[in-house]
Amino acid sequence: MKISHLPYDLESEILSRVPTKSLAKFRTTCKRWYALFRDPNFIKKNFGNAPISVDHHGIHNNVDPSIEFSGKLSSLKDSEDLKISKIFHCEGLILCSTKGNTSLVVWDSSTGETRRIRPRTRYRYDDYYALGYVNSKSSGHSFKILRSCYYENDQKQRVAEFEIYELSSDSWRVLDYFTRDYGVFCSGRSLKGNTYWVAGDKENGLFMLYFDFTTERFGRFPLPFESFNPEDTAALSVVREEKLSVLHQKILDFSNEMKIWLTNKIDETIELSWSNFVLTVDYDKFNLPSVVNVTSFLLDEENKVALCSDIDMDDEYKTRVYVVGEDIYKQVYKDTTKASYINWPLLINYVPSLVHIKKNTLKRQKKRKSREVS
Amino acid sequence: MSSNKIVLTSSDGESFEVEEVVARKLQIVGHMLEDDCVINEIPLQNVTGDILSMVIEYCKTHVDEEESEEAQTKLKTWDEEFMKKFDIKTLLQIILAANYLNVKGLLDLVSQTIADTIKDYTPEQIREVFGVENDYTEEEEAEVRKENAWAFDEADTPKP
Repeated sequence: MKISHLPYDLESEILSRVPTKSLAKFRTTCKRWYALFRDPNFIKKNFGNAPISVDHHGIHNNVDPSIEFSGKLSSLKDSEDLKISKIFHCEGLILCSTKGNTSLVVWDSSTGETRRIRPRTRYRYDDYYALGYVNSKSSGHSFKILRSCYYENDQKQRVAEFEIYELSSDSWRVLDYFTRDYGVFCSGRSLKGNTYWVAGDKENGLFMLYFDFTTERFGRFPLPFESFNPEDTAALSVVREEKLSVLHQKILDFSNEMKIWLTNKIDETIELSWSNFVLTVDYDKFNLPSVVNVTSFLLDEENKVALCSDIDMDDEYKTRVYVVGEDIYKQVYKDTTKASYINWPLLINYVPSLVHIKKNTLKRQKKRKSREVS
Repeated sequence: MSSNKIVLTSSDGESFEVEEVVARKLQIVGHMLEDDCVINEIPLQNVTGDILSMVIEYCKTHVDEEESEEAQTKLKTWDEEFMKKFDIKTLLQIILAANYLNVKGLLDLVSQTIADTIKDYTPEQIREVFGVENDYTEEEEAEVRKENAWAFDEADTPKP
């Protein structure tokens, strides 16, 4: 006897308990299920049922600014924890570079699937990476990775390298039309497929830099504050997947003031403007035993509070996490073990998603000509 | 607790006499008893006798849920054994009954059991069991199938 009358809520209750890996396979069952598996409420429920844990607390790697995962990178053959040195999050996918930048891995922590990405030439210690996508209505997201590197070559010249990797074709290509005359002051944040950083140069001071993954071009926007001091603290954060916020502290100015600004909604076309929102926190108010130098934060716009994180310079560089607002300071987490001054904590909004990356099913096509940057 | 007896009658006319505390595990019955406390025979239109007998068996076992760890473990083992008796089609009938009769614990248990059972099914088997029509065209299906090929090269170990 066929059960063709299972109410949708029962059906979805059952399916939400099926491991995400199997759900991927069930998307070919029918269109309604395909749509169901993309429903944010369903995803949330499914994720809640999954036996997965990501522990962002164990920050003990004393080589690079790093985060150790005890999540399950299950498809990697060796079951040892990976040592992660750099991490970038975009739409539920996490791009990790392993300790010493020996390899680059894309990890979908909701399915546990990983893809190891081979370098075109080799990865370098000072690489930075961004994961983004081009949004096309017909075929969904097509993901790309930007690799950028700035180093001194054997002739003592500063050399910049930019390359793009496409997940669909599994290949790198060189972008050789950029020069690099600025420094990058904070790790990138992904919003609607594009990546944003705070960067700066001598002439302009700090500004917002972005990379548009559709046109493969960089662009700039002014920040809501002016700063020519490279020692200033600046950090970016994404607010509800639709806005950016920037945090600024004049750390050397004998001021303990921190300000956070917020943009208006940003879409794929990258029209960026600053809203009237400003959260000002004067840390002097709270008589804290040590200086606060925020490296990473998340903003709650409605309640005008921020979750901030840094390392306690006066207490063995232990990571601490605290909630601050104009009139509150409340520490919510503190590492118990000694750390190093280069272990920067990272707070991200993690939204699990069932984004799946198309794998190139064709036989490997002729490799594109790639040109070396000289 | 009262030891009142209540008679539950299935859609195919089978009657089960159970204690009131057991019957109250069926929230639908609980609500009826609250509305009018003099009923002692309750017709249940949407469930057949064979399925109702299994729901009652579950409710009898879970009638006094003790907090102690030992009792919980024992119940869990019983649940597992109980679920093993049924094939997927019976499980689907039980979940419908548990939903109609509003037995929360059984609903959770059966949902999880079905989920564990179907996770290795092919889409064809799933359609068969759930009575879902394949509404994809061949091209569309091929396209979605391609999306599924997250097949990450397990063999893709880094080159030395």
